[in-house]
Amino acid sequence: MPVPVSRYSRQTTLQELYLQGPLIQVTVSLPEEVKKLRGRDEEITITALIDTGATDTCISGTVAQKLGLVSIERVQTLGVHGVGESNRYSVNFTFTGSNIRLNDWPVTEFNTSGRIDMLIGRDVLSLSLFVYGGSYGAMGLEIPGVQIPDWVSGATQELPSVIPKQARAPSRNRKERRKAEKLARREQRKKR
Amino acid sequence: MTPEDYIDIANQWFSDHLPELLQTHRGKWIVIFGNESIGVFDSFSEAYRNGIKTAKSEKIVVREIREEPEKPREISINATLGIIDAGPSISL
Repeated sequence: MPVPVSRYSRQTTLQELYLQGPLIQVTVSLPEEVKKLRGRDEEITITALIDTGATDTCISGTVAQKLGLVSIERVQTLGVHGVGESNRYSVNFTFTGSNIRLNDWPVTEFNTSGRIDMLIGRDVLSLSLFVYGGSYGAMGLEIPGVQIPDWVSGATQELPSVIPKQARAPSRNRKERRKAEKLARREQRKKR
Repeated sequence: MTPEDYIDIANQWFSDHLPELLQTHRGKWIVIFGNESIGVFDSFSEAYRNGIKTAKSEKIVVREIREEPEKPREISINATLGIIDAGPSISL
């Protein structure tokens, strides 16, 4: 029986990964029980950074405020200003353009002065296969269903591989590589 | 109750009952509403869902039953400072 896998992938460049890191668009929304209680839904699409330096997945205070989230706990955090206290919330979120959906996921509040409103931390990454492929022209994240805890749900349909075929590493064989480059140039000329 | 009050009250209840909770429910998740426990559950999501449903309020506290204090959670220093955005902007 095939293992259900949730995947996110997109094309990127070496320069983008170098300058900005692995950024993705994420839609954050209210947990189902909160939606029922409030009788309405709230959601917001934001930029997230996949961040191995963050223990937990974090959202900015601005996003928490916009969604009107109510804290479920206060935890000690270690950030740029040393040890402090941060609110924890529960949210649902999806990676835009993928079948990765995490429900009732605990997130920690962080303050940011940049345009990054979310950090995908090691709580998610520890369940995932993460591809940081600047020279391959792609980045991606794959969460195998076998390890997914009950608060994660994902579709089970077959999806393209994490690394798009056209972005895979060139062959080591010089002749083959030149041939591939020649073909690529020809394709580009045709497009023009 | 101010937003902080309900967390302080729940945390006090949690600290008071932690020794007995560790003996019987170590590693599980507890939901506290005001000055009482709503229940103990196997996972965070189960605790959260049941907590909201039972309390009919978002002002619940969900805690993992384990010893305190735990190690502070790390938050990315670069993202906090906005250093990641220092380079030329690249749209997604």
